[in-house]
Amino acid sequence: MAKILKDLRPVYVVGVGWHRYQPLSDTPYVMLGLPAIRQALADAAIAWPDVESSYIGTGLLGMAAGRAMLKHLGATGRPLVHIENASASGSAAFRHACIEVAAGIADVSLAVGVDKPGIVQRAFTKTGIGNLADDAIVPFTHFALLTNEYADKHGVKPQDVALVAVKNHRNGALNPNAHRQQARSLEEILGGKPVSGTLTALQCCPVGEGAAAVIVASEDAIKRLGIGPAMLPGRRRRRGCHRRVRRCYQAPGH
Amino acid sequence: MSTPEVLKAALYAAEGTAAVPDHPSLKGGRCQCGYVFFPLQTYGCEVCGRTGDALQPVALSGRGTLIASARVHIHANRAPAAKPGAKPPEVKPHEAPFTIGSIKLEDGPTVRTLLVDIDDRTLAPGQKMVAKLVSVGTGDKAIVDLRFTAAT
Repeated sequence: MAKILKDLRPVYVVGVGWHRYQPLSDTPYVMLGLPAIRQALADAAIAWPDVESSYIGTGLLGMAAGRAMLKHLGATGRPLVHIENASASGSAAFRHACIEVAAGIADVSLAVGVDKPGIVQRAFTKTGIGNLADDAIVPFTHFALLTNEYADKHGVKPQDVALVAVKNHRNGALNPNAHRQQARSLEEILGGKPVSGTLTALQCCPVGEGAAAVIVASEDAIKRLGIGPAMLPGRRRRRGCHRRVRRCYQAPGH
Repeated sequence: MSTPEVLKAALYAAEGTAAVPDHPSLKGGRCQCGYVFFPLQTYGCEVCGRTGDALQPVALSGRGTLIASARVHIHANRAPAAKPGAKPPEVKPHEAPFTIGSIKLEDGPTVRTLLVDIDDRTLAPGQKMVAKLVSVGTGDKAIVDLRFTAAT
């Protein structure tokens, strides 16, 4: 019978790093991803050769983006896998790094999401099945239609939906890695440039670039590499311990 | 005057169905399992997975109900830059603002396409909609494409 992740051995996040999200710039993607990975390695206080496998999530960079980036960390001959899963590419990369460590195939695995805006032909246009007007229906209109349907079904007003953006911008203002770091009032959100349906510019994702890296590890690796063991179950916290060590996929209710 | 060319002949026809003869019909399919879909394809049923001859063409009437709409204010045409000496496009590009609707056809499937001749009053979800062909050609050749509009 299939197992779920919590039936396997525990997986811990031991290091995280970012290149902030921002509008498209001349920075090559390599210099978005590498600083994020180096920051995650420093955060975990481990070296690149300690990483046994890498999962690179990217939607728009093109084939085999990871190899051309990771080689600048030094040749280790370790496996790397690219994950394209549309908007969920980075989180899918994280999931697979966790599965590999949980299964015992690796003790330390890297998940990195890195992207820059770029034009790729979406696969549905190559299915050979036509459509009435998909050239006129970009993602923001897809979501505008869903918003309109939701609003009609649940009696929700445009300002109710705009409050989601108010909350998101408030959070962004607290996050030095966010693309948008300015708090916005409801009036600013609603009074912004109209995009599609009731959605205004500040309610739509900015299209930009950036990177995020996560290093996950087994308990064995944490002990062997001396990664802040204080947070492991049954240990007392020591001074200067690494507080980022967090178990992934807690059992429900924990 | 000659009959105008239909822009996407694989998707719809000027001729209506027996039930709704006055509006263009859409070229859908019906699976042996009963699922009705648009557009026609024989790759495999999206409900049960049956393939090939289990999927048969069926004309869907050009009548339905609006379930959502969105006025689009920004639109970038992604047409490749015309090469020097290339013929101009035969069909008008979409120019914002325009309105997209989701229409649940009375025969089952939901389609999304451009709406024409509508105003805010007619755009409430639940509005009855009908298909119509509109002229989209840029030159001498008469070309028509499918749109939906409020039923009168």
